[in-house]
Amino acid sequence: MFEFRLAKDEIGVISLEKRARITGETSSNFRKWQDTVDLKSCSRVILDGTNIEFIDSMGIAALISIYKTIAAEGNDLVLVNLSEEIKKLLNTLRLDRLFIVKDCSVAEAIKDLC
Amino acid sequence: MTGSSSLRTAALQRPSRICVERMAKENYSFTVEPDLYKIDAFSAKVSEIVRRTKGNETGFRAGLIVIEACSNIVKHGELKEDDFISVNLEVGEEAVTITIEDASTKFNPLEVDDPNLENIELLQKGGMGVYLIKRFSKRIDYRYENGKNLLKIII
Repeated sequence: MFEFRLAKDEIGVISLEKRARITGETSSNFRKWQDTVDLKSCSRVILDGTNIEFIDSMGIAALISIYKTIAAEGNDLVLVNLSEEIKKLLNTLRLDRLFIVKDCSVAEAIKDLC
Repeated sequence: MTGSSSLRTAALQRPSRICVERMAKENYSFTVEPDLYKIDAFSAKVSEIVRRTKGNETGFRAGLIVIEACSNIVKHGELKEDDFISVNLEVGEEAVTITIEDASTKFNPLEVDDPNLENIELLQKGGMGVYLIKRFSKRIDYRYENGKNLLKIII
């Protein structure tokens, strides 16, 4: 369900293969999945939210878990292509101070970060 | 207008025992199994119904409130397998009203302190769900009656 690829300058890109709701067990799987990829060696990580249809508090907890892994290395988690509703949800929890939320494509985010 | 149908949890391709009865044009009554998969499918259904007339934002809020409230009941309420959660959804011109009834342990979300948003360790462990219900609704009423929690949320 989750995909990871390395772009230039060691920028990691996380995306979802298909449209999905990050809730319940999917959130648990997301947290387990992140242990199978080497996020720590990335210079930065971009999460492409194109296929995130919906997210609940368990899904947010999974995002925080990914953030903590990346932030422990002093790096940033950049979220792109999120729906307006999900952006509002993150703002409500003041998580926009942890994550960098950008209104742009993955390619544009990579270009900005390089 | 009346009628009934059953929903299916698409991700699992197994029958859900969520029952839907359309009581009036914009008034729906649901019975949901205390199971996180079923609640997720139910939340998606509620989002879809509300989105049709109230738009994406209100649809998202309705789905979020339903999944947070019902998941809390499943995770903390010590419900038996055959203790279903009853949900009434009223989509009015002025507001959307969600009423959730369950026979789990007494739990008043209005008595829950807001989480410390500065502490992500604590935030990650819990407390976000009730906070989101409060922040994404206009009004919440709670009462415990005849061994049941009755939570009425107006969006």
